[in-house]
Amino acid sequence: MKSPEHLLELARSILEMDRRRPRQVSLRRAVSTAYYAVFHLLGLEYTLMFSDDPAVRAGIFRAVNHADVQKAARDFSNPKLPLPGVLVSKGVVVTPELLNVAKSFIDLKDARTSADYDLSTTYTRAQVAAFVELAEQVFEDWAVAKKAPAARLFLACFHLKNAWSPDR
Amino acid sequence: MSLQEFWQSVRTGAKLYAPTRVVSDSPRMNTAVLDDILARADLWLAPKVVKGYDPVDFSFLPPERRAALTAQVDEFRQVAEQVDPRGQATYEQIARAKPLFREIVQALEFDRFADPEAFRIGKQAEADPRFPSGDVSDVRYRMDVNWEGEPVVRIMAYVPESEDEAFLRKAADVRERIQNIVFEIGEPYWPHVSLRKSSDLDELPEVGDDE
Repeated sequence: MKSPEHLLELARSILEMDRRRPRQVSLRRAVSTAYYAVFHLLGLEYTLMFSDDPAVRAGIFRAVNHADVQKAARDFSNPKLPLPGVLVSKGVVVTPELLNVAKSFIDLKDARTSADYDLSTTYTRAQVAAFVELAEQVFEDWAVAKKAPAARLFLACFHLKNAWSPDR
Repeated sequence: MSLQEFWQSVRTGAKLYAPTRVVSDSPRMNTAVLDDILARADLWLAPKVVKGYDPVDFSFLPPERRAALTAQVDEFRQVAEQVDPRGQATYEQIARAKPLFREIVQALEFDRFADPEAFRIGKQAEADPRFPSGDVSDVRYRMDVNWEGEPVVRIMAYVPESEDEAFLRKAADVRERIQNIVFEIGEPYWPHVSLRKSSDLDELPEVGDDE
């Protein structure tokens, strides 16, 4: 399932359109597509925990929710929050790469929402290039991060987080 | 809310202070005279323009900067209190208060900080030795809430780099360094850092420009 990579390539291609005087609508699309590349990357990694059958994974992917991923990302960006605190106490290490993935997801999601809905904001090509670059960095960081146990816990938190409580 | 009150008072005063040029299409109206009247307008020269100032609210500023601001506010207030409330300020009073008020307005940097909380966080961040001061030409701050209703600080950093590759390398580094500092000092605000080239300031399109 190559949609994350293809979306990332698409974000880069959109950015390359009208290099001299890019249209705002193109720049907005590039930001949004860069975010979706990252969302698909993490969402599809999540589905791999259950199945490697593409049809099953596609079905599970439908259940991955942007807000749930954001909540997990926020927790893993801040070691002071209770859930990562509990994991850390059990010896789970949130690697620097996973930390970058989590932080960047939140930044890209915010950027995407503004790009799609806030028409009072204008973008410059360099500004959008930095967002696409950030998404590309997420792909690189994730390739490293996913080898550590904390990455699976991060993915699991897309759904476990809502059920988890410090008192349980 | 004292910092908020002071911020708002000075901001309002700054608007009253801004010199206005009189333009009229009436041949009977002497615009030079009106200009002179407005130049002497002293609405900004009132104690309420620095209302709410408390040095304690500026504990995040370096001590010498805070002391200077306190002295400017005190002296401005002193002059403003001497102005006859039924008359106009004298030229001497205006001449004495003008540089003080200008200093106060410049200290708050309304062009870079959209609100007092942004000022507090921005000033603290920029005082941190890890802040990438040498890699940015301008940084602007604005408090906001994101689409989920969570508090965020939006930071726009301008990097003086025109070559694409070099800009992107620098941008990633600047983003990370600013974010790390604001994570420490700016709780509960999430720092969203956007990066632009310094040259973007001249090329930034107006809203709806290419629609």
